[in-house]
Amino acid sequence: MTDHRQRPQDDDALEAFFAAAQRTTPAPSDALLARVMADALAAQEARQQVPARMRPQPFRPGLLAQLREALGGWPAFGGLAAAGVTGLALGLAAPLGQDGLAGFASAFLLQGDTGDAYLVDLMPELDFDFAMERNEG
Amino acid sequence: MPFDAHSDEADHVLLRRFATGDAVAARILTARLTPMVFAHAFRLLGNRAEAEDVAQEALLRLWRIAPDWREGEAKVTTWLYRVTANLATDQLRKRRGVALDSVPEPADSAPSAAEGLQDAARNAALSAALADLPERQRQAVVLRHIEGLGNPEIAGIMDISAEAVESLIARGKRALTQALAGRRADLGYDND
Repeated sequence: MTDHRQRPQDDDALEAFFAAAQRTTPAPSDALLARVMADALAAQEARQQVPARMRPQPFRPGLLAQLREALGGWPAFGGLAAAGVTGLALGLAAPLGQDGLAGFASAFLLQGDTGDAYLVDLMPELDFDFAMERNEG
Repeated sequence: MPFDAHSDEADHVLLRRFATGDAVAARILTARLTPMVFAHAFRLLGNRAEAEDVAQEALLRLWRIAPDWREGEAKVTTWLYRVTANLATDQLRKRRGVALDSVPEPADSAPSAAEGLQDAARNAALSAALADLPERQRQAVVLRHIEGLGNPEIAGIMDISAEAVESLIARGKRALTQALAGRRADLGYDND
């Protein structure tokens, strides 16, 4: 079986072939240079003729991203989310009744004393109607 | 039409100017890059007409991609070597399906007289031996030993590891040594 290992003298011999190849670099013809130049100018001209609205537009963020930036970025989003959750919690607490709501509100507002929290009856006449119904019924 | 490749500006800077419609940048890039691309195509294909077509197509792709060129990702020449090699590979596959008459031509810019003749003969022998190598081995050997690139850049062009480049080159050189062994006496190397 033949030994195929590359010996230093083999490398030297190959190097002489490579050196000959480097000294005889193939040169492009003038015709090729002219064709390449014509392509280059045609590519530039084609780009000039494309209407601006047809060219690739620079990157624009999506609607949510624009909203986020308009509100002041992620920290503002966090505040908005906290406010939303608080509103939801207040809404859920309402069916507990006036005491429940007042207790929740005072606890939430960290006022300690429920006397500082005002409860306003927006439709006081309903109390009278309920009382009448109860007496008559 | 005179072509002047002399400019201190880097390829990517010229390409940016090209993308804005600068005709001077187009002229400098044409003069600077066409010889490199053509020579590489010729060494991979061994045929002038095919190499010219491949070189024109590779550069056309560069002109088209110029407006979207992203600096810092790859050198312009690295990108061109890769595109040229891919186009040459496609050309070789087409050639196999058509005819076997494309004997490699020797490179044709001989330096001068006797030395030039001997170089041309040696180059022709090398071209023929290179043509018999598997495509990837030929590409790696040409990039390293004729174009003179370093292994890291070749790895980038061929999209393989530096170790894989070493392996391809080693196998390619062993095959070339065997192929050229019988030609060394003819070409005067035993007297060197």
